[in-house]
Amino acid sequence: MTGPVVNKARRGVFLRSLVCWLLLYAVLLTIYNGTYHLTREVLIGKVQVAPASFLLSWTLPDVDIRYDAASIQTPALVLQILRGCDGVEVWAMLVAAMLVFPMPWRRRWQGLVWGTLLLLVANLARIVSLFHIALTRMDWFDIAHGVIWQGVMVLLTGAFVLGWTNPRRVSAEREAFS
Amino acid sequence: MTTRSAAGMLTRMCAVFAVVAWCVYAFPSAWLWPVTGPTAWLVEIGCPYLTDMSVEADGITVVARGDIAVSLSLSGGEPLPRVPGVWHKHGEQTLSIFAVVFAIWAAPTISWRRRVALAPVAMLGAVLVAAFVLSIEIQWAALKMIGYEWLAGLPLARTADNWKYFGQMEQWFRVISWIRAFHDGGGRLFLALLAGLIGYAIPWRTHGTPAIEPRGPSTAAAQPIHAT
Repeated sequence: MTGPVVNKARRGVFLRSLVCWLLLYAVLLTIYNGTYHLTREVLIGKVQVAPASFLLSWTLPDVDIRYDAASIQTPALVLQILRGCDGVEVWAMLVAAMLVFPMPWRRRWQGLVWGTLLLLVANLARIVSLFHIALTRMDWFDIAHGVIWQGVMVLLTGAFVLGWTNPRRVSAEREAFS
Repeated sequence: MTTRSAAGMLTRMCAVFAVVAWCVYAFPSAWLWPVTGPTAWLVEIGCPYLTDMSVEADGITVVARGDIAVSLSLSGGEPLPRVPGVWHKHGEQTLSIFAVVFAIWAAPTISWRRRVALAPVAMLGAVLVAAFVLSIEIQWAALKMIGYEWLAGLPLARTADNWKYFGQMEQWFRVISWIRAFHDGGGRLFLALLAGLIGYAIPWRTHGTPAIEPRGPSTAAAQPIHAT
């Protein structure tokens, strides 16, 4: 009878983790919105715009790419990186998940590092691809920006969290560390 | 999680996301239709300033109709009459909720039998999240129009009751604006993600593994066939 009891207990933990994930995410998002004026220079300018501009110069060698604190420009196009375009919302999902799902602390930190790298790369790919789409097929931009990439970023975070919080692997690591 | 199960998970998610995204944009009315009833009900019970709500899908556009019922008095002393209102909302963001819910529903490595059994739960979750998000959008649009456009042009009485009532309306608008900002800041799809996963927290009658546990090698002890 151990199987179903453990199963039921795990499901309880899973449900509780989902609820805590939502609550912590709401708290983190509120903090982010409240401190956006303090963080935007770094989170948008340094972490997103500058590397994305470098990648665009690399992928579009014939185009004159310039950038400032919150936008990437060509003579024909200005792409503004606004709040929400910096990937912090999905990163907040990742941070909240790593904090609420049961796993050893070492695994939490590793998950934060790998997840952060994954989301950073994904968001740079998002900005670069959207810039290319805006240059070549402007009529695709809205759906690519508002639907496809938003969904992809959330699903990527969800997939990472599902894979990283896999209970069997976590319990195996817990036993290994104990 | 093995590389194989991770690749399988990503493949399932991408395939389901692509198929459902195509379906919802090819037939938006069919997907918005189950959302309209719960949306009207949520606006009706959630917003004290809108009544007799009806919501319907017109292609990819959602049309909400209802009466604005605001208990303010005009400068002549007479109460503000009920006025009908119509609000239009593009359903694109509502539809993307379905794609995310079903993509995450397909993600965990479990048997397809169990996954299919949980599809109605995912559908119910998607409808509830979509209805909640849409009800907030409609309330926000309605309150913004009422407070900043419609009431601003009316000769309202400068009484304490009116000020108090208007203050309550502003407070409600702030709450709705906060929820809307949460949705716009990724909360909408995050709720969709949770709706896709919530079914896996439901107890399953077999000894199956929890939702986020991959189907790996059997954990049951092997029964000796030729025991002596």
